[in-house]
Amino acid sequence: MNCSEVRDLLSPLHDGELSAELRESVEQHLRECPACAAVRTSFGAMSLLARELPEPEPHAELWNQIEAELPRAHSRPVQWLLSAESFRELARRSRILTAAVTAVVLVLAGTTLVVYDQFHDRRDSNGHDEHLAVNFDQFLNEFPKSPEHAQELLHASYPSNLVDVDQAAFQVKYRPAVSNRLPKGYTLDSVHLVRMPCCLCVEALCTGPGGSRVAVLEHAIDQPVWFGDRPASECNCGGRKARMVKFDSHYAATWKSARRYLTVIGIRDEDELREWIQHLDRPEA
Amino acid sequence: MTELSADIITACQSGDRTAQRQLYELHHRRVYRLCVRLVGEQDASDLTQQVFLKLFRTISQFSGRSSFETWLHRVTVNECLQHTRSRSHRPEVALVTEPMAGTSESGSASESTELLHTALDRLAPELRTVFVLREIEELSYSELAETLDLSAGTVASRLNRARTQLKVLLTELGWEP
Ligand SMILES: [Zn+2]
Repeated sequence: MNCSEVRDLLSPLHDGELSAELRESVEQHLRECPACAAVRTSFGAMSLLARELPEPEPHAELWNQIEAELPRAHSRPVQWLLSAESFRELARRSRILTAAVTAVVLVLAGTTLVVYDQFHDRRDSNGHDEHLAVNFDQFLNEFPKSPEHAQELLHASYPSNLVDVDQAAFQVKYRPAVSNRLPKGYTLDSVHLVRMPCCLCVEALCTGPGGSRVAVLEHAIDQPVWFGDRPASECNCGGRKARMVKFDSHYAATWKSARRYLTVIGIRDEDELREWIQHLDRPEA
Repeated sequence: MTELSADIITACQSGDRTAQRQLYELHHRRVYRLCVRLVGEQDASDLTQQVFLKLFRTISQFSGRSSFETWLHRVTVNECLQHTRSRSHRPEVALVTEPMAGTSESGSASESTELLHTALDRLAPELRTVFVLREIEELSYSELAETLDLSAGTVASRLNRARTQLKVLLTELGWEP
């Protein structure tokens, strides 16, 4: 075989689509021809590179947008089904394997699609989010000592980008709550987009009167798992029902705003929480 | 195709909203990922939406002769190629950018994936498509042939061309494997 014939067969060889006989002839040539061998090596390097591309995250509103365009239709409860192809797709990449586990759990439980709306909440019991809980636990433990270091820990676990509010708005397709007026004396230090397993999360760090620091996270899905086993209390603040947990001498709290969930970390008390809710949680323009 | 997914498809063919949502939940990540790789993150949501609307509108024509996956890939690829063609008439071609590229990885890994992004964007759409379907969606040659309406031989030569040109583009950008 000459070089030109071999080059034509390099992709099929690389992709495992050659017969044993042809493979042997091509490999024989590669052992003797450094030029063709180098091309083959570069194919392998590009495959590895392609596998490193980050998995993009579709935004959570996508189905609603599609449904809005669909003609009116009837609906009936259908058993949640997982086809073999879909399973293969889910299992294809280990980084989304946990999603497959969740889906399998749903199938095993014989769950109907009626519970779909709780699907995301159910993810709290899967391994992926437990992993998240561990990371977030570190974040909470570290936050009172050094908010910056806590942030670094979080960013070491999840892809993140330093952005301004406008860039954030463009990416998440909503106006982040921290673009509203902040409670008196607070200024915005930084805004990051953090790609968490739940969603693309807007994470902001603020400095308040006397140098106190508060982190604000805005996310599409409730994340009770973030607070781990810490005892939580409910509070009715500023018209919202919030869940508060104590850590160190501060509090973290989560509540559901009109369209998303907001979490503030580092507040002193219920009064301060009320203020944050009143400032952040405004109807969108 | 399994009996189970055949059930979902049959229900979709009669316009069942719950089944449509199920189908969406099962496949939207794949469709979105393919759109991001073929047209860029900026337009991927719109394209994904178009793909599913088209899918639901035409699903009654799905005969089951090819696998549903193949059909889905084909619809997605066609929508993306059409989009790319219409975009190329505009004076400025939007760059494929993904600002969220894995920043948690070591610097060199994320830099290299950035290079791949840029290089893929510069590749001819037909070559980009075959490369992405093979390397990211991991289609076999027979699946590629069916999805792209090509012979197995053409699949092989197109992949060779895609990889050879991509290597050149990457090298121009300073990539060293
Ligand atoms: Zn040679």
